[in-house]
Amino acid sequence: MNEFWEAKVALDWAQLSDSYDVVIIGGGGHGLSTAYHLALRHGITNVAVIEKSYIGGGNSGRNTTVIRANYGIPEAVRFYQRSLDLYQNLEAETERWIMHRVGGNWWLVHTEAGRRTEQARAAVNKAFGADTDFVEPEVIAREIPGINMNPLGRFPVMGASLHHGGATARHDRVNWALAEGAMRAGVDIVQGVEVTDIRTSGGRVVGVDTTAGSIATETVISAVGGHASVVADMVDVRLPIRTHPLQAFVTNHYERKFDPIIASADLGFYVSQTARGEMLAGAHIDPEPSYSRRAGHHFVNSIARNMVGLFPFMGNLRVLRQWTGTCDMSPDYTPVMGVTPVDGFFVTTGWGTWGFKAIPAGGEAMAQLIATGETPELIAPFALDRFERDRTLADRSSSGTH
Amino acid sequence: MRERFDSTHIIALPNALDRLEMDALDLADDVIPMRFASDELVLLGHTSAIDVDDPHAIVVRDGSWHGEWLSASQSELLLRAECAWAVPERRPAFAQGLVAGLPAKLWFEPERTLVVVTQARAVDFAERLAPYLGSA
Amino acid sequence: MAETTFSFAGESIPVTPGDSVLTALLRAGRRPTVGGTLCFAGDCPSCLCTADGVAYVRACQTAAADVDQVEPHPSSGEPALPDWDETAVEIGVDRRRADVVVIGNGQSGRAAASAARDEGRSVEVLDAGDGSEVVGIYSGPHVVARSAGGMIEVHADAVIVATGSVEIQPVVPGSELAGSYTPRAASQAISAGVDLGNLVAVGDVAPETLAFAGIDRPIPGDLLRFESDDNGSIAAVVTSVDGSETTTPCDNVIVGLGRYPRDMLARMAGPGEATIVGSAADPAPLPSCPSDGVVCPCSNVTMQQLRDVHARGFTHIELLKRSTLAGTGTCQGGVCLPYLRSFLAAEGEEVQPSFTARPVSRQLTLSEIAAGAHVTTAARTGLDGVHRQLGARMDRMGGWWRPWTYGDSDDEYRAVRDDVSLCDVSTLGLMTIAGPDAEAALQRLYPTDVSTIRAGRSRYVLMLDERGYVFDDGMIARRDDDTFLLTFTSGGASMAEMWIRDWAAGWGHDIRLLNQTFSTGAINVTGPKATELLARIGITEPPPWLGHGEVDVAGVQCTIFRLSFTGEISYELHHPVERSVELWNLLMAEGADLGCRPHGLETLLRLRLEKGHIIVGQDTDYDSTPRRLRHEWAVNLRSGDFIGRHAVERTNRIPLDKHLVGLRFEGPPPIEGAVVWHGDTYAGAITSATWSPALEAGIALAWVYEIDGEFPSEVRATGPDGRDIVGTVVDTPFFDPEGARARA
Repeated sequence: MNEFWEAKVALDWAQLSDSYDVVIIGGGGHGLSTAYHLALRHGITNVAVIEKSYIGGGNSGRNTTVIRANYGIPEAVRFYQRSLDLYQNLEAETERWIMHRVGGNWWLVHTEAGRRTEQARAAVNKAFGADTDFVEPEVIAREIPGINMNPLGRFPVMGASLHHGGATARHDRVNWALAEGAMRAGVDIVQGVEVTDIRTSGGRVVGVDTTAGSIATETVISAVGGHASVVADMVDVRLPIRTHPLQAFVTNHYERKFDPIIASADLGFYVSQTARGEMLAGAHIDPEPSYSRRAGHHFVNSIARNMVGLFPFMGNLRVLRQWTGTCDMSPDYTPVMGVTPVDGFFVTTGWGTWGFKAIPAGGEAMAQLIATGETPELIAPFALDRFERDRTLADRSSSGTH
Repeated sequence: MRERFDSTHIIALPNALDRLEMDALDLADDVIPMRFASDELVLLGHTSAIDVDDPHAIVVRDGSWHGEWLSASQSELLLRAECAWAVPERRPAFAQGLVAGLPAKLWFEPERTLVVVTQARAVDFAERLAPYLGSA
Repeated sequence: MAETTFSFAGESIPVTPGDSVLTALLRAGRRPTVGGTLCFAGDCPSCLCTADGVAYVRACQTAAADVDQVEPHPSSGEPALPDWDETAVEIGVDRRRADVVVIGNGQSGRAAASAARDEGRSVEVLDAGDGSEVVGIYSGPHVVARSAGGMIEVHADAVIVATGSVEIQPVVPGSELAGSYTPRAASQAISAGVDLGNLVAVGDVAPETLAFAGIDRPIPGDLLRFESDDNGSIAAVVTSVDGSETTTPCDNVIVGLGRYPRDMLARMAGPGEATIVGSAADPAPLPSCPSDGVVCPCSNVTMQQLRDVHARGFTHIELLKRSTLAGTGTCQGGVCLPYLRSFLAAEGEEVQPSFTARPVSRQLTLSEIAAGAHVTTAARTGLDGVHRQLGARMDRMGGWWRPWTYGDSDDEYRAVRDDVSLCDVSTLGLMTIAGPDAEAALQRLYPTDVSTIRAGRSRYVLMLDERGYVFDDGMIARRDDDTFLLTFTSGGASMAEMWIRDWAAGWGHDIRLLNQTFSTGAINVTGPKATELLARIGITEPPPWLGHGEVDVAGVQCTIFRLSFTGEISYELHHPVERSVELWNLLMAEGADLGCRPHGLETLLRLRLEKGHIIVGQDTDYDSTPRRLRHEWAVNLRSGDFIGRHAVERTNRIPLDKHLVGLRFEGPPPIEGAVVWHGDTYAGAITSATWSPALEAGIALAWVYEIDGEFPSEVRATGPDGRDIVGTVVDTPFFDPEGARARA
């Protein structure tokens, strides 16, 4: 028996009823978290979560499990810090082990421009409640085991921003803990059911059609990943979302002793060791706008070269599996959350590569919006209409990152 | 890279370039036509005036090319290890793409191959080429 | 022949030719791991070891002659991480091309290869047994294999997967003990001279295997369990016939449970990329559902655990896997996947088809994955060697190596302000655009009236995207009626080239565009004595302010621009890149007694900030409209239908929320990136900051937000010592606002 099997969570699947107060499309982390918070914070339990495959099967179960709040703009720092704080308490609240572990997230600097970016990150983090410092090379050489301070001859490590609260958790366990909590409180969650249409009347939502029958409801939340635009199209809402691939890979399990979560925008990757002992690495999305498409092998090939350059000891680690996630990217690299022009249709999308770290706060805020009818201040900047209002959010430091 | 090349770099209508490319080998023995795109031709080794059948053509001297002639066996060694795409089999032939991770231009002759990069990449390319220059 | 050996946990193990690490160990009475059925085919985790520092190596797939030091896989816990100071090895790569790649050299593979050859196609056969272990099929198709000599990559037009079948492993109580073999493994072990002692067989074992093993017939009945001796090995096989149990003592046992297609590589290929032949293409029969035992030896998951999580709602095969971690270990489901499916079938669940497989099917080390990859390079200007020779500290910016400082940036600053200085600006993007529609195209590409730029003149321009946001800036210089030179930011040229080509093609404009960024060098000659230095190299009539022209400098054909980023008299000499060093040396020599010395990027950034010039990418953001940047002067709305025009008009009607302003501090500047406060309210951020020697003050550019209906005129930001300092919003340029020095 391995100690990491899920020994506690019990999932109680429902049959769909013919009407609900709230229907959530998509049983990923955000859909489940919204249902969880509706039920447990607001007592709204006549809720259905409809998942077309299995819960947590999209990016919620394919991400690289990093939790951090070290973003580059106040709106994002505040929001993700709320999420980071909620994660801290998630094990106690759900009484489930999510393998939460704080390791500190280091963003390495190899150029003068990088130094400016990371200094800015540390400054805006500190100002908005995220614990991040800019640190000099000697701290890095001392604190990060096995690091080569001048990797590949041309990427000298010139400093880093160190986000002390950076953490990881097991993605599946987060999804299950939230699903179980919601189910226990009375939320109906179904798998293998697809929403085929959203019905409206007079500009407001009146129901959804599914492969398991029709449901009457006045509130629909699209918490869909990958196909967010398809679902929004059902009610003629246009989402400014493009989908990018994101490559990741994981090694076999090794004795757990590498604590930091390391990222280098310049070297194009980030890596951490999971609670289970795997080295989990992801590639940054190419920060340069490019028309070229790179094959999967070329990408992993060069990322591996850079990883081994920065951490020579990793050269002998054996990679177990490599995969590609899809990232729903908004034009300003920030999520799209809240109301839409259609009454009763809400979205939580554009999660890019940051969806996992936002699960608790995203669900909390969406639930609050549904329960109170008021957009919480924390997510007001992420409103869909920001694009036409010329109030886009511009977080350079988070473009293409994990 | 042992050799720097002068060239005439031409942007013109495709038809005009088609003709020039065909005639190029007659211009002089050592002129190599490198067709980068339908509207872009570099005549490597060519420096004299040239007639382009396009009144709006951009024609400039371009001495930024650095190259190395490889024997057929050196070329095969290099491409086998450092080129992930199919090179043409006919001779002579021009091809372009990543070689050793850098954008390179290749000119194949029956007995030898010229590999060319722009000045900005020459130092790095030379470093990557060096291991293949041993066996002539 | 001299006997070779390798060391195993400190013991010397003799090796005979042809040995795998596993056969050598078994012959010596040792095992690399604790137990489990051996397959001899790399499909299971029962022979893992650590070979020469690499953990998770399958002993059966590793030639004994290739290793020196083997350690057993730990019986509990995980293998240690390598030592922190472990160095990485460089692995080579052998790239090949073939019309057809055949994976697997068994009967069906050989037949497929021979058929392809008969059609005149070139064929590459890769087989683990021959030392080429295929690990992945990537798009292309592009097949990657590992061999003892390094990695093999084959680019092919077609891939034939002939990987055969996997022998199904027993899952019964005691199947984790040592001493069981699949039929194929038993034959190979015997061939290799391994003494299997009292050997019995159970299940469906072919007559020839039995004969080879010297067994008359298998033990009748169904396999129930293995009984253990004191050493964790099998002591007896328990079978059942019609409900009655029989216990057969033995040393080792052959277990024949049939086969399952080895289709992982087939499932990895994209649609149409691979043909599957032979038993890899056979339908996958589900084995009967085990009642007990370890179903996933990698993650040590029992049937009891499967039933447990299933009862708790983990009913989908993915949830079953993820909750128990069955199938996520080192053999990637090779052993357990058939059983997970038969378990679900037995539970009455819908059994989903096998999931898509992902590389790598057999594991690679990171060093192996890195094989053949090159480090991303930055471009070098024609003066790169000169800078390095001068001892400059080089920095990468915008995809180029650039000198940050030559050692004394204060002196570099004084050179510009007091004397004359050179700066390598070859990194600027440079293009020539020509053709009958060149002017028309530029009118739409830029928010300015290009028709009013006369030949010989130039103008600073912004580039806007469709949303009216600034994404680049530069100069337009008109040569003649239909020829223009365009400059762009360092690193902006390739994007800009695609941008221009795409739009012009869309508009149907007849233009010619040549990107000369890499073929042209540029040296900025700047400082109060710049004009004098030019005169010394023969340029006696330099162009007027914002003018340009052609000059010959000692045989080097240059385009000379008069403009200024530094705030001093400033000429850019654009020239063929191969002449850069010559021109630089000439300027340095002729300027020696004028105090001519070079300045790096650090100084350039300080000088430009004193002039309030923005750097796109540093001072701009994804939402930077000209209005927010206070660059409305660079947008002519009376001009034509330029890209971004509608967005600019629309956003101009929306109240302004923030703008980029100059800040002055009576003391050292804030840190770049510092948050800006107005009272206790967030008011923005510093984008650039420096100490201004000319003003003896700290200066900065900052985004400042509107607060309570007005833009603050005084703000706070974090200073260099961590304490807040107060800055006053001031007009830019900070220094010499009339531009008297630059135009002198």
